[in-house]
Amino acid sequence: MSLLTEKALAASLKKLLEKKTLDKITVKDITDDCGVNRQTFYYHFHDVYDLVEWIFVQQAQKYMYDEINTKNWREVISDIMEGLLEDKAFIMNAYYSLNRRQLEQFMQKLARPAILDLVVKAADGRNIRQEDIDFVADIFTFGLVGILTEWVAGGMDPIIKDKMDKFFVIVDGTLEITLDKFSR
Amino acid sequence: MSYVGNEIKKLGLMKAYDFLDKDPEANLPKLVDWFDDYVGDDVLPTQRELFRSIVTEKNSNWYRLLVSLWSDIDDEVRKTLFENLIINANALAAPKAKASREKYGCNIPWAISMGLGDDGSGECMTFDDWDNVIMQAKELGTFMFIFEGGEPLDFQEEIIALCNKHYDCEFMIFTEGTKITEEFADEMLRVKNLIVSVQVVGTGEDKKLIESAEILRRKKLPYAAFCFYDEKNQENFANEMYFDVMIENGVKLCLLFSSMEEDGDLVYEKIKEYRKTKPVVTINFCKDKDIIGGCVAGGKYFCSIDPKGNVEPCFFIHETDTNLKKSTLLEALQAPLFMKYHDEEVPCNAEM
Repeated sequence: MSLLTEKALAASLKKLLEKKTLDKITVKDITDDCGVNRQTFYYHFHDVYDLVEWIFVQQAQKYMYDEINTKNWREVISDIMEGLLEDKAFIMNAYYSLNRRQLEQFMQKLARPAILDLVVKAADGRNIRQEDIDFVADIFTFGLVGILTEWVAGGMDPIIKDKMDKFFVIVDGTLEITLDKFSR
Repeated sequence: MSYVGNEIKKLGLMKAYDFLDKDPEANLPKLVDWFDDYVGDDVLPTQRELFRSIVTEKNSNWYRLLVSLWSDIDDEVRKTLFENLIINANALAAPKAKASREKYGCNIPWAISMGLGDDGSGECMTFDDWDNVIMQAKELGTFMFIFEGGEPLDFQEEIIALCNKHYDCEFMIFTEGTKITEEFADEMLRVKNLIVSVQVVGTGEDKKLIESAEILRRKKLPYAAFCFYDEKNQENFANEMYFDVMIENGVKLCLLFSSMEEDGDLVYEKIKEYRKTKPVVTINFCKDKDIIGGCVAGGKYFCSIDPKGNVEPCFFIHETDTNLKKSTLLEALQAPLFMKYHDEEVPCNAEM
């Protein structure tokens, strides 16, 4: 699927976000900028927030699949943060326009697929139920999203990436131990 | 009820659905008990009684139909159907519509039919117009919408866009069926809140139903069949084979329209008989007093809007005194034509 229309609408939204906040942007603003009608917008999205969510979900694809086998936690998280920094205006604006819960939900959409990949990889060779794998992926996602959201709330200081080292101290080896506990 | 109250109620009902979804056969009877306690007495009183008898009689046709909803229908679509039709369009909409009825002193329809069309005159309703009507309707307490017109499937993008935007409503299309494509069925799976109702004639020509149904069935989409009958063609429908062909093709709901008198209506007679044995829901407009409470026109449960925005009491009565390009939906419901239906029993003068 080409997703041409979706991408064009996303580009219009990002462009508008340079001038105003998300809560001030209407579907009509987006479709006017994009040169399509409201019907086209609603064919693809429920509302502006649905488009925002789509952008996060699209972004999440980037951290999956491609060479995931050679990646570790450090690389995945570093990639996610780099990606967020590239979209800093959009992310900061989303943070100011959404409530924290909504931003966290979007961040979860962004981070969980990559984390699930890591968990599934680590679980290879262990006999673990799918629901337990999902649970472990959730726990690690919540941890990461919490830290990332704090980072966004603090203005996305690029240097703070180093602080993530502490997260790695916790994560390194912990995932394996956690999975062992769920092994049957 | 307040917005927050409704949200909590909805959460509870969706939890109930998840419980049901885990083991429908075991959990259904428990759920019906609970539903009785949970929602007010004014929500679907007759239908609920019927439902209770269904879930307690395991060998019955109704029970088989219900279980088939789990085997034949996509999990997400079934969940949306429950959320939009049972919760939004009934459990939550009923009190809201009742409040509007009292506040505005007029009928508030349960379902609104939208005639899609474009004669090139520039006078026809557009996506933005319909979107506006749906937003007004939701305010008043209507969450069920029907697409009809010459052939609504000529307006596929418009239909999907309206369903996608109003994802808390349930939609149905009345179509002759030949324009259902693989791609359209995929869009239906994406939006999840659209049911197709295919027109049948009760003869060998219904092959087209079977073809379009094949796509819908394979994609696990629920669908219905509808037909019109009169003295001349009633024999086509008043036979067991007709109903068996429908059921074989996975039809869960048959809507039958006729302006015949009850005396001499062979189809209605058969329907009453088959309701006891066949796993398909049949609704006969407007004879089924038990199910639909008789005539539904004039906004009582139903109203119809033609492609130019004229508001009509019913599919089959082309009278109007209000146009939605100039007036609001509420103004149409409060206008003399609809108030007549509100104030008195209007004898049916439908032309089918």
